[in-house]
Amino acid sequence: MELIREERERVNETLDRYGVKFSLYKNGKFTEQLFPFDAIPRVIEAEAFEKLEKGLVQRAYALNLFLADIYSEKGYILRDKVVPEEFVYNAPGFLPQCRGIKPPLNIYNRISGIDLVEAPDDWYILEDNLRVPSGASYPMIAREITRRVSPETFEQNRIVDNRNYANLLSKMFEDVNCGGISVVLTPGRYNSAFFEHSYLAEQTGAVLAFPEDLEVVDDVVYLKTFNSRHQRVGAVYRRLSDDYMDPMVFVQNSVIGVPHIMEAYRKGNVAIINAPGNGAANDKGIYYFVPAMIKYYLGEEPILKNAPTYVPYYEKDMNYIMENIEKLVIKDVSEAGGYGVIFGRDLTKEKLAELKDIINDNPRRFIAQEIIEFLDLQVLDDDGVGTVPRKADLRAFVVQGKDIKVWKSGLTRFSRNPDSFVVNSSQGGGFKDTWIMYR
Amino acid sequence: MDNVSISKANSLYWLGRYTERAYKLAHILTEYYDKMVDDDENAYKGFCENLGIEIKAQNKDAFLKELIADKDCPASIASSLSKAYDNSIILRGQIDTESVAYIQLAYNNVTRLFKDKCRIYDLQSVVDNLMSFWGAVDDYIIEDDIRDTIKAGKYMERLDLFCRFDREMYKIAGCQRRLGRYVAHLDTEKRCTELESLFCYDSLPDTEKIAACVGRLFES
Repeated sequence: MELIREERERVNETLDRYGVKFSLYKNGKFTEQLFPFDAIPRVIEAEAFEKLEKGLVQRAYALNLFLADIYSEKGYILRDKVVPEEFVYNAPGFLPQCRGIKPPLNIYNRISGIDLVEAPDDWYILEDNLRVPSGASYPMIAREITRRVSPETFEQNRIVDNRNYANLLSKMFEDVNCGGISVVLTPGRYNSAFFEHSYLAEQTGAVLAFPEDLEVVDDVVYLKTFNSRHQRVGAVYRRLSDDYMDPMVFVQNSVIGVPHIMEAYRKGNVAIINAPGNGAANDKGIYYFVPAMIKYYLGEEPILKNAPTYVPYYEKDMNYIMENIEKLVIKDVSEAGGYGVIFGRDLTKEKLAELKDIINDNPRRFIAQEIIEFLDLQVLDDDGVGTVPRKADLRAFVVQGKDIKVWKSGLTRFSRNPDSFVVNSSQGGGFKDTWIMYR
Repeated sequence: MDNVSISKANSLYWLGRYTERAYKLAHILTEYYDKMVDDDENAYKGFCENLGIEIKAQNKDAFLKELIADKDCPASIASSLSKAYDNSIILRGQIDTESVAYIQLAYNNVTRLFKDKCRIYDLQSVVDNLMSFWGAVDDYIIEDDIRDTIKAGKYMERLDLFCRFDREMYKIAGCQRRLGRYVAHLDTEKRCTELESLFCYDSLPDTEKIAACVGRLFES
């Protein structure tokens, strides 16, 4: 690890050369910036990762069963009141238009990005991202670069190679493809994750397509090509949100969608990755019920723990929140990217009272969680000589095609602000590679 | 180009144009700067006239800084490289991340090396990056049509600049021949049948008409 530390400058120069960036809109202005990389990796020993792997597979599997259940006519889990109906039907990510559609292989969450944190006693799940989880490209390219800059490090440590993520994806594209080429559908050059869209397209061998490059004729999706021989598209790895995907079905004035793509999907002529409507299981309110889902569908105890969570919808939980609000973190279920997260301890008495009123008036809008004092990771200081402790999470990726695989790596994001728990890149966070060690 | 969309073909063409614009402007600027060093300190005015631009600069050093590093000046090298970069990053799958990296390096060099000082010598590293880019284009791109599209853009731009800066006829003729060859490879639908008739080998050709004709290839 010392070796990589010594080569920090060269690693950063190379990241710069390859344009490893993300974009931000701040005050109405588009800016592109390098995603700060910290050369000290997060290291997970083989045994610890084995447990994580089992837990992640279990969770992703149960979430898929949940999605298949709620979008079918049966809805067993709702009938049996394991999850209250209103939590599903009122979730902004639940799309009634997707009812009755069976995706290829009946898999909804082909790519799950599951956020975890490590506390002194164990790992805790913070969030399930089942819509368009992003971030895998950063550790992929960082590994490529660090291996080049400091091969000795990889000679001296038994680290699982993580550069197979593109293979996992392309194999899954093949598994679900309905006939034709696979494309990565990007909303455009100025999307915050455009680097990732273009890099994953290149690495998987899929075609990077803009919405205007695709058209639907007779319920079949085609790529409009330069030589006028339009190519049939069998799988679309879309990197835009459900709302904007098809103006005929969702937001009507979307200019970044592909008209009629949902009809092609409904008819089974194209696979959409991830399935539209996954937001229903992505919801922070639904998160609370995932352990119950695992027991319900799989008859197993959850291997990985949720952070202790309270839902004000239940009277008992509401009372607990009202009494303990100053030591809880309150999350607005409709927000993402680190927004809508309020730490009770940071608020004045007046603000706490205001927040209590808002929660009382909108019990379905919030969840509350105990603050997990998760472990700090060491991050190089600005001079690159010493290290400082910072909060960090881990986004693990689970890919489901015919098989279900956990990528043996992940995106470790850290806060650059010493007082903050928020690690999102959009809020100034950086990233680390995640090393999974061989036994 | 079975899997290349029309919009990507258009980006390939403009990637070629902007990269060549940055590359050739580096050479032309060096020539004009040299003229300004000892005999004609207002030579930059001729440069601006040839490009049909107005600039803020009033002396040779300010001129150099504006035309090299001012991204807001549409005729600057920085602006051309920024546009080349915008086109290149949507083309990773066609031209390879290694080729994209040379455009990124050239852009990084222009913004870093000319941030404080403006020395004509430093343009050499930008030119080197762009030469490397063209090497990468030849080396990494497997599909001939993709390479031909970028090169059609390159020679269209070169033709335009050569005509504006009154280069020797044999050089202008050479550009036309190369442009014609690349377009002929691509034009399977015969959209540019009149291109040959627009070429002119004994006087300056009408580059606007030629550019419009070539541009039709990339219209949907």
